[in-house]
Parts: sequence; structure tokens; C-alpha cells
Amino acid sequence: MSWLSPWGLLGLLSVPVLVALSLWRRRRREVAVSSLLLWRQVAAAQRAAPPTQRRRRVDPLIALRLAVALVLTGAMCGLLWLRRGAPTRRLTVVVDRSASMAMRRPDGRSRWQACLDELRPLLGRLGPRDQLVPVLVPAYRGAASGAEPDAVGLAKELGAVAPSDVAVREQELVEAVRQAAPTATDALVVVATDDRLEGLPAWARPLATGGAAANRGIVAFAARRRRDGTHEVLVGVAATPPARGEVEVVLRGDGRELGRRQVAVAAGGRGQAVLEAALGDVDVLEAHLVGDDALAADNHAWLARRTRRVRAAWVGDASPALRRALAVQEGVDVVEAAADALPADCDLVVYYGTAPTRLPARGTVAVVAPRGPVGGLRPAGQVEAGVAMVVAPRDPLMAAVRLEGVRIGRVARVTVPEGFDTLARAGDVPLIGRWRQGRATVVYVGIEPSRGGWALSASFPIFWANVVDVAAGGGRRGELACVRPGEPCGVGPVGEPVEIDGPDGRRLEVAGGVLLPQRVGLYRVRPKGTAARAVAVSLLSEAETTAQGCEARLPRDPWEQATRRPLATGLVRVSGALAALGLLLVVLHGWRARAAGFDLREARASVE
Amino acid sequence: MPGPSPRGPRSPSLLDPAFLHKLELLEILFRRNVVGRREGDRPGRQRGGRTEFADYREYSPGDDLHYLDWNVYGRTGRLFLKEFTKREAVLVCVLVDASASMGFGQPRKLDQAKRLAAAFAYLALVGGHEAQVGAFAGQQVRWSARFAGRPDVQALARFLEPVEPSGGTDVFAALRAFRERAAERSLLLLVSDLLDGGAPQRGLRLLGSRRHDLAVLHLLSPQELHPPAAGPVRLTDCETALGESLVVDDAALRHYAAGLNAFCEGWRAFCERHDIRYLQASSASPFEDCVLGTLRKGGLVR
Repeated sequence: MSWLSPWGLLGLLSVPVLVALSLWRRRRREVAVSSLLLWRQVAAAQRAAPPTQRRRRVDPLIALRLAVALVLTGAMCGLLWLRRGAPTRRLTVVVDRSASMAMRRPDGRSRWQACLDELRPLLGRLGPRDQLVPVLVPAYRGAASGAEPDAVGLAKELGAVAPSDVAVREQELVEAVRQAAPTATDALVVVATDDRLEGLPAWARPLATGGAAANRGIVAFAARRRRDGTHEVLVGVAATPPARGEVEVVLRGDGRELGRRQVAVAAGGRGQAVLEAALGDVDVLEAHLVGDDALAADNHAWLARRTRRVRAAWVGDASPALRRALAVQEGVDVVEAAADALPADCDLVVYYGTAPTRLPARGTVAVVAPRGPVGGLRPAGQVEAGVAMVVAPRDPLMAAVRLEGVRIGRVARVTVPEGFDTLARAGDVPLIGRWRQGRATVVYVGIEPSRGGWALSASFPIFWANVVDVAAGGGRRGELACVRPGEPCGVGPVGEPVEIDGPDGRRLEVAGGVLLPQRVGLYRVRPKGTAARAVAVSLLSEAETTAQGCEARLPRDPWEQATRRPLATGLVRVSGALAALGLLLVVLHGWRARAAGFDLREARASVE
Repeated sequence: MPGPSPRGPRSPSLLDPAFLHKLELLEILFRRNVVGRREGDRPGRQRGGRTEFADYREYSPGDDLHYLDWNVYGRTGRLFLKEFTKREAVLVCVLVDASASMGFGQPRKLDQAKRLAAAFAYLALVGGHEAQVGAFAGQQVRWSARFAGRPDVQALARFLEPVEPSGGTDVFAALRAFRERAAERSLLLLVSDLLDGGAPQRGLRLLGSRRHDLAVLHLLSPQELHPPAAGPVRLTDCETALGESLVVDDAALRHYAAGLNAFCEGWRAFCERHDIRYLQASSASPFEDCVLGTLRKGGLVR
């Protein structure tokens, strides 16, 4: 219980009010009498009386009022304290920020806007003591407000968030909902999306703002070089059921129109066009659909050329699986090297089964199952690895890498150096990690491909492709390619800032060497000391383009159905209100006594 | 005693008809040897007249032989004369204090005083006497005409009704004015709160020496008899506008009550000493109780 609570301060405010009313009551009033003849003796006697007898006595009624006011204030503070002990309301809102949420509905609003409109009354009923946990999928990296906002502030910030161009799988949303499982009785989980989710827990309240939308979009875009040096470009188009007919596809290379093609698309189906073009030195290839529809993000698609080749040096034992995983990647040249004679222009050095006595001064170094210490990393015996799991799935090294269910076998227990980032582990044993050694990035891989089953899983070549991408700073292939929104894209060395111009013209600065684009378009990347290059980000998601969705509204009062308030909470509220009412009556009584000249002595005299 | 008038008095606002009928059963009691100038209904002390038998006395030479009682002579052989008493009408004056202090109280003292004065004057009219009412405020006294006969009660009420409290209290000046005006001995009822800082007793002594039959009705309001505790106040005299600051608490009220008691007892002792009837009443007392109780108990009526 604290007197500094709002109710306590309010209650304490009644004390000076009551004292002021009492002083007002006791002030010297002008009273007319018929004659002073009889009062003169009284006044003379009072003047002649000693000061101790003339001193004002404390009115017992004001003392009683003050005591009652303090008791009621204490009661209110105590009840507030009890209320604080009671569970507070907690609202978790899992919001789908996928590209389809930007789709325009028949009523003109976007699904996102409709979602916010539906959520607004619910958020508006939150008080400062309530908790709001917004879970955005994918995450939103907006401007931080500095201080940690309360529920009301979070609700305002949520209104400023916009949907992304990222394709979000249904399972990702369901998993996010499961992680937001309510732990208290006064908790409500609302899932705001545009479609009905399969496997949604029963305690989650769905809010779907989808519905029919006429949309057509590019869902496939690729260019393949032919033997004669020309390219054939594939453009796939999909349409939602209301939209059908022919779509005109325009192909541009570095802004110059290369061709047009009509594509017939059935309602709810897809069509494709193959265009032949001599791309030559075209760096950016763009396809777009003529006309407007419900979703703008899928009307354009880009491919950008990656010009550099990657040189990798191999040191140590032979590993066919790993060599193959490197060799099959386009634009990668693998050369054998001795530990003490590394090529000078290598982007990547792979140490397999051996430990380098001296690490390169710069670049990326991959150390696979070292048998000795590497910098600050020291192996200390072998253990049987448990269940492997990826700790940092958003890290560019671990993009699209899955280790769940993969048999690892025996691995080395290692002492990790300072600054070591664990990317995957089995129990408490690090399997994959990374740290900086001088200007070099060292990637530790504790899993030996010749043991276990990792080399046979699809994530093995993906991981090594990521390693090559990171080593090359995101530009290793000479082919036209693109990334999807939300996918990590290496744009420069780790730890060095890279300036990027976004598709909307805004300047971004990436410090970790990895770009996580949320919007489709062309990103102009300017690594320090190198020429600028383009990174194409295209949606190319049939699921987002053809997301029909459905509508599901929240009940009128979701709290009533989701939570059951304990009786004590209601009683505490009623008692607090009664205490406040009592305090108000005490002050009013003091006011009435002031106004009517009521006094305990008068009351006693009237009774007599 | 004469019965009620067949027409009945018009109901003045000061007295209602039902109460007037009750009043007609009462009679004013005179204490001093007041003598009326004209013949009335009251048996006087002066001998004379022809109708009211008083006594026998032995014949003396020179007496009027018309009053010899020959029947007594036949039985006793001695000559006796019959004596008769003269019926006379006495002047009854009611002097009402209409100073500002009489406007205090709940109900106002002046309202009660006017009604008492009207009732007492009506009693005089019913008893066949003459009645005159005066209202004084400051040194000014306004007198009504002399009323005689029951119908004059309406004129009496018309005189009293517009009287409103104003000015200071100067009982001595009012009594002095009465003395100069009164040509005969009469009954004077002074209705006042007696809150006069001057010398009201001096005026009464003056009138007592002129053999007037005097009565004082001391009228106080409940707020004066039992003032409420009001805490620190500045009391202002409504007549003089003088002020006095004091704390009206329990001790002050005890002191006040003692002073009030001494004041009233002083008046009572003075009146007894000078053969003046002294009555005390509260303005909050029911009017009928005041007339039928206080006046009767004080020996002013029967």
C-alpha cells in the first residue's frame, strides 16, 4: 500500500479541503443581534480571561471527519494494492504483415487497414495497466520511441506500422501464435491475418480481413543463357479467381524495353510467357504487368546481375561431399592450397580436418572439424551430439538451413573464444559458430561431413552456398538473380558499414553486411571502396498473389469469452468505489456544515 | 358581561374570530384605584348612580329622602339609606415597543407584541372601557385614537397592522410622552423587550407616582433566551450598529444565560417594588397560550 498512488494522493487532498472548510466555518462571522446589552458582559469576560482559556479548541467533528477521510483513503490505497496484485489484462496481437495484407478489398480499404480498423476498438479499451504484446510476422523494424511504451503507446505505434512485401508461410504464423500462448487468466491472443489458419490453437481468437480480390501477379521470373549467347526469359503469371483473361507482360533491360507478350491466364490458374532476348551486358532485367489490380507488389519483378566470381582455397584433408558442395555452385573456383602458401586473392579459405597455424589477415575462413586450437577456439574431447538445432535462423550463414532431424554423430566439445556467435548447437555443444579474428571472419563447423547424415541432407549444400555468399559479400555469381523479401542477402564484409539506396529512394545503412529487404524493388548497394551494384528483390510468391483469404470478425467483447475475472476482482472494484464514495460524502458533509453553519455544539444545543 | 355582537367583529388579520370569542370570556383586572371619566360597565369605587346597589347607611339630616328604604324602616323602625355604585369606563392604554430590536426573533417579537396589544385592547373594548394603543420607536410615539365599543376593534387592527420595527429603544421617552398625554389615571400595559440602555425604570417610577395602573410585558425571542453556539463572531447591534467580537461557545453561552437571568430578575424585582405587574413571554409561545396563560397568570386578566 502506498500513499503515493493516485487514489492515495486524491484521498490526501481531502484533508486540506476539510481543514479549509473547517477554518471557513470557524472564521469570524458578522452576526446581527437585537442588542449588545446582554453580550457586553460576555465579551468583557472573554477579554479578561487568560489566553489559555481563550485558545480555540479543536472541533471534535472536524477531527472525526479527518479520521474518517484518512481511513477511507487508506482503504482505497489498500484496495488499489490488492488490484495491483490481481492479474492484469494482457493482450497479445499476432499480426500477419505478409504481402497479401496490402491487397485491396472490394470496399476500397486494404486488408491491413481493415485489420487495424477491427483492432482499434479492442486496443482502445486497454488501460495504462494493461499489457499489449504485438507480435508482427515478419518483424517490424520501425523507429524506436526510446522509453518502453505502455499498452496505449504500443497501440498507437501499431497503427503506424505498414504491411511488408514478405511472403509468410501459414506455419510461421501458427508457430508465432503457439509461442504467444497465454499464461494468465486475464490474457487474450488475437491473430490478425487475411485467411483462415489451419492448426490454430483453440484459445486464439482469429481476426481475418481477407475476401475476394481481383489480382494478377508475376510468380516466376528467370533468365537462362543459351548456347548461342542469347537468353530465354520465363515470366510466370497467376491470377485469383475473379481475374482472368490476357495479361500483357513487358520486359525491360536496364530500362530499355526488350519485348512484350500477351499471357492468357485462367481464373484461379496461371500462365507463362517465354521471351527470347539478347541481354548482352544488361545488369537489371525487369518484368511488369500492364494495368492495375488489388496488389501492387507482384506487378513488377526484377533480376540483377551478379558479376564477380568467388575464389576458394582448400586446405587439409579431402572431403568429396564438401568439395562437391562447393564445386557445384556457379561462379565458385576452388583451388588446392598449402597451409603456408595461400593464394593472395582468395575470398574463402576452407580448412578441413586441420587447424591453421596462422589465420589469414582478412577474408572468410571456414574451419571444419579442426583437430587443434584455432585462434581462441580449443577442442576438448569428443561427445555424442544430441538433437541439433539452429539458434540463429535469420543469420545469412544459416538462411534456409535446417538441422532438425539430422543425425550429427560425434562432435568435439570446444572452448569458444570471446565474441563467438553460436549459430547452431546440440545441447550445450556448439556445432556452427562465427567470430572475428582481426579483420578475418572465422566460421567454425564442428560437424564432420563424413560422419552422420548432414552431408546427405539438403541443408548441407545450402549452408555452404551461404558461406560462399558471405565470403563473396553477396556478389559471386555472374548470372541474373534476385532475392525474395525477408530473405537475408549478403551485401558486404561483416562489420563494415554498407550504404544502400532502397527502392523508395531512402538511404539505408547496413552494419552487419547483411540486408534483410522488406520491400520489393531494386536496392543500390555501395560497399566501401567498391563499385555500386544492384540487388533485385522480387516477391514471386504464388501463395501471396493468389491469397483469397476469408473474413472472420472478433466477438463483441473478446475478453468476456477469453477470460474469466475472479469474483475478488469485482468485489475489490466495488469496495474501492464505495470507499471513494464515502470519502466524497465526508467532504460534502464538511461543505454542508460550512454552508449551513452546522456544528456539533449546535446539534447538541438543538437536541437539548 | 355583554355577549358577543350579533354582527361579530370583522376578522382582522391580527386576531381570528374564534379567538375573539374566547377573549370575550375574559375580563381585565385593575389593581390601582383608577377612575373612569365616563359611565361604563365596570362597577366603580365612587358612589353614585342609580342601578348598582352597594350598601346601607344610617340616615343623616340633609340626605336625599328618595334613597330611604321604607321597608327596613317598617321592620326595624330606624331610617336607612340605600347606596349605589357608579359604573365607569376606564382608559386602557397599550404601549408597544416598535424599535428595530423588536424585529428580531423567529417569529418576530413585534408580531407577537402587536397581537397581544390588539387582544388586550379588545378585552378593554369588550369590558366597556376605552382603549388606546401607542407604538414607539426612538423618541417618537404614535398614538391611536381612543376606541370605545367592540366595533372599534377594526380600527384598532388597522392602526397596529402597518407598524414595522425601526429606530432605537427609548422607553423613558415613550412613558414621558404618555404621562404628558394622560389626563386621567388609567391602565398602561407596556409591551417591550426592555433592551434599552437608557433609564426605562425611571419612566415607570414617574408614572407610578401618578397612580396609574402599570403592567410590563417583557417579550423575548427564543434566540435571545437560548442563543446558539456560533463560534467566533462579530456581533452587531441592529439599533446602534456597534460591534463586539467574541467567541460564542459553551462558556460564553453559560455566561450569557446568567446575565439574561439577572436582567429579567432585576426587572421583576423592580416591578414588585413599585406595584407594577411584570409578565414575561417568549415570542415563540403560541399566541393563545400567551394570552390565556401568561396574562391570566400575571394577574392582568381573569
